[in-house]
Amino acid sequence: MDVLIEVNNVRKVYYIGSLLNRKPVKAVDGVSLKVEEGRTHCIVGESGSGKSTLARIMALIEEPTAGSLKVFGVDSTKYFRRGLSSDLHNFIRKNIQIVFQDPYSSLNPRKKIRDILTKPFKVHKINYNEYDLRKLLIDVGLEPPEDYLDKYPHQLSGGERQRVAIARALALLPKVIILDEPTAALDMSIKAQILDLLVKLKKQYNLTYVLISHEVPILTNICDDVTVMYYGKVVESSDCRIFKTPLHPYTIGLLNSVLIPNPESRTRSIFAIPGDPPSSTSIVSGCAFNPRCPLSSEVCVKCEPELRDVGVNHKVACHKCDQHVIGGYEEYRDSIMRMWREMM
Amino acid sequence: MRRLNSLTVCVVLTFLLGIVGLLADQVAPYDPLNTRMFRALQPPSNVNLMGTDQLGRDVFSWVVYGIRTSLLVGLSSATIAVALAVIIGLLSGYKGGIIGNVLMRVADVFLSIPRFMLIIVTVVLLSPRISNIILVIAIFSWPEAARVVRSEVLSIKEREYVMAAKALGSRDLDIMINEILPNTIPTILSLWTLIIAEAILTESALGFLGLSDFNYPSLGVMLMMAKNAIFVGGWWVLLFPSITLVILILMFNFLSDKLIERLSPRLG
Amino acid sequence: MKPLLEVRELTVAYRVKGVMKYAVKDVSFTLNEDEVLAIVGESGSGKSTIALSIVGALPENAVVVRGKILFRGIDLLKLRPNERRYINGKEISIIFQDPITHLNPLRKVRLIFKDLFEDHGVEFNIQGVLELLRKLKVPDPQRVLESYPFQLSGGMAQRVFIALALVLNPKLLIADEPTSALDLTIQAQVVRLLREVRENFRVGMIMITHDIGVATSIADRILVMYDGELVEEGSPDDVLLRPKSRYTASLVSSTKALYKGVMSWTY
Repeated sequence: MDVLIEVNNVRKVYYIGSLLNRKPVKAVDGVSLKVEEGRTHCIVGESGSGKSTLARIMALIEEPTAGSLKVFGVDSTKYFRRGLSSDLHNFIRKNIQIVFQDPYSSLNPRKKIRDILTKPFKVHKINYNEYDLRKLLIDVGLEPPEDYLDKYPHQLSGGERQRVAIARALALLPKVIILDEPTAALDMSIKAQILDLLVKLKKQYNLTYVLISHEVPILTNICDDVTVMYYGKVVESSDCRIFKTPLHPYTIGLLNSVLIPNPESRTRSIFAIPGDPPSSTSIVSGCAFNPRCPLSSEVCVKCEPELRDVGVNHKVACHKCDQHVIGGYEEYRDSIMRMWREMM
Repeated sequence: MRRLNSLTVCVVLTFLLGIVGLLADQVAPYDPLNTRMFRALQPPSNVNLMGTDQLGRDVFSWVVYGIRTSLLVGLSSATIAVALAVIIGLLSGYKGGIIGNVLMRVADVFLSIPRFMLIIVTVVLLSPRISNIILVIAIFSWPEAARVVRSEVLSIKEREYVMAAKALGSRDLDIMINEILPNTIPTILSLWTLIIAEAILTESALGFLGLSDFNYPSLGVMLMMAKNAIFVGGWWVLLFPSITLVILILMFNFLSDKLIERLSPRLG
Repeated sequence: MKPLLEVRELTVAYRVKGVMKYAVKDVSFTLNEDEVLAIVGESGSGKSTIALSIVGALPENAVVVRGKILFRGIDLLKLRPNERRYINGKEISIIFQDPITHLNPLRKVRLIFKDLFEDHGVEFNIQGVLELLRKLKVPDPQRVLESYPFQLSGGMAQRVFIALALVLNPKLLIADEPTSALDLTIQAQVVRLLREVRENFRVGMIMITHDIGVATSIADRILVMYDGELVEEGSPDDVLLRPKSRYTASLVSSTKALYKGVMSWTY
């Protein structure tokens, strides 16, 4: 299968503070991953993990500070420096689109839905007609389309706006759609609807998704490949088996923090990873997760773990995760949870 | 009957004042520049609705023409200033970089010197013709407006719909004009009316100091006359121009507030 | 046992451009002492309006059309501002979603506590505050007291916020969407913390949330709101397994579908 997007050791550094007192914030700190055609690649992380920044870099809205990003085999620096033929440049631009988290601010409040949807066609000088617009709206479930075309974003509900945002990304039938927390701002029942819509559209148009989210439960239904990020780095990556056999302690803790709505949850003790993630400007030595990790030892404090293979299509960045080979997976996982519960 | 809201009232009143200014020739009973010493310092009467000043000029006619001058100067200089401010603000806010910084430093220079002193000095150096006055006020009004526009642009350009436009491949000029500019309109309109108010005040101040164009009666000039007139009991020379000036300025200030209030889009 | 809070036929509307939009329609429920009640609903269901009505923080264009909110026998809706001040913070406390924006950034935490004590005419008991912070698992409470709110991490700030709400021993604690928009691990921390509060303090709680998972993890009883109406009331078991209203049933089934891949975790 083709690799559509290849991220190689990408870093992105921002500076905050005044002229004389600039502090670097390493939003993305050495991330590598591959997005394969036809698959849904989920990037999981919490705030501060760098996932949104990574999304913008992959969508070619921002340039990485270091590292390389290859899109459809073309180096992104050539794209940004306008070193490509305009055909190739436009081809790339058309084929990677992005849907943002906040349906309240991703649509220009002063534009009608019609204008928002015709924009992609206009920018790329592609002919369109009324039928195309109506089909787009029908595709995303906004029927009858006439009811929506001449409205303004504030006249639509959150779920409806998000559908418009998806329609806009879909307009030019891109190969890849990057979705940055597409359901985080939506109500429960709408989340389910939007996810169903995304699945349907993927089949219908042979799309490849990069889905960024912190909402673990929804991801389990839709992911093919998963990359887990913590504090700007990849800590684990695999395919969807990761939800059954996570190896990195953070992944294990994260999955166990989900508050499941079932009758047992009232009596079941709630697990939460103790401590807080490091603040964006703090300098961390060794593994960023070590202050909160039950397996942490000297090597974890001194040495940053490398992302390495631990199985077929499974990479982990941890010094200690080999223990699962020794005693078996269940014992490994249970002992981690036990140690955590003692820490709390 | 549709409920009267304050914006409508404001706009209507301003409009009325505008009509008065436009039709000054028809509304004013006398030629304001006409001085008849035998009618000097007459209190308000049937002949002179607002009385006359020390030089026998009809105050009412002067006020009517004064409204016209104020509006003329106000609207022209504000429009020029805002046009400049929008272009400079958009460019320096969106593109940033060296040009953006340089432009803002230039604006800072303008802002650090007392505006009114500069205006007086410039008007004195050039001749006090109406076109000069308009230009001078405009030139000294754009910096502050440009800063405001720039900061709006800075915050709007981080909004997701701008990023979405970039992701679609829109060019910078397209983004500036189609995505960012429409969202700055409430601020721009509000700034415009605010500058009008400021310009009217400045124009009257220039008139008060005797620096106005003699062919364009200024409310300030009548206030200058009032300085002496009140000592001999001519309260009408002070009262009517002052009230008019205050109404004009308040009206535009109020309009500025209401415009921002009403036009800012509801974001949900 | 007399109920702690009794809401009777509460009906609240918002005046929008001259038209009355009803946010809460004829809602009645009771809360007993030491009980945790979760009010679950989606945006626009009216759940936040109920919370605001209880603490008297409704916006200007809100109109209480009808109803009573009886707290230990007193009708909260009929309180005058100076009477209301006696209750808020001392008998009834509320915590919100984002702690940082609700704490004065220019005041040290210790002084924020001091202000609270003074506002209610109670002597400042710093030992009590330290003890409370320790109970809430705040490491190094002394240092936290001497910090400014912006220097605290998200989790720490939420604990301080909860401490502020509990320090004067209220009988009722309202948590308005305390976990929305938070990261998963922080959500878990906050819910865990609230559970501990429930176990260690004698306080009745009303938890407003749109997340059924959060509700079932902590509540004794769940109320489901839809479009301003109370459509379901029952224990978590009842609501999840035997929903009576159509809306609840569809909400539960779409939640189940969302959580399908997660349900199998049992550890």
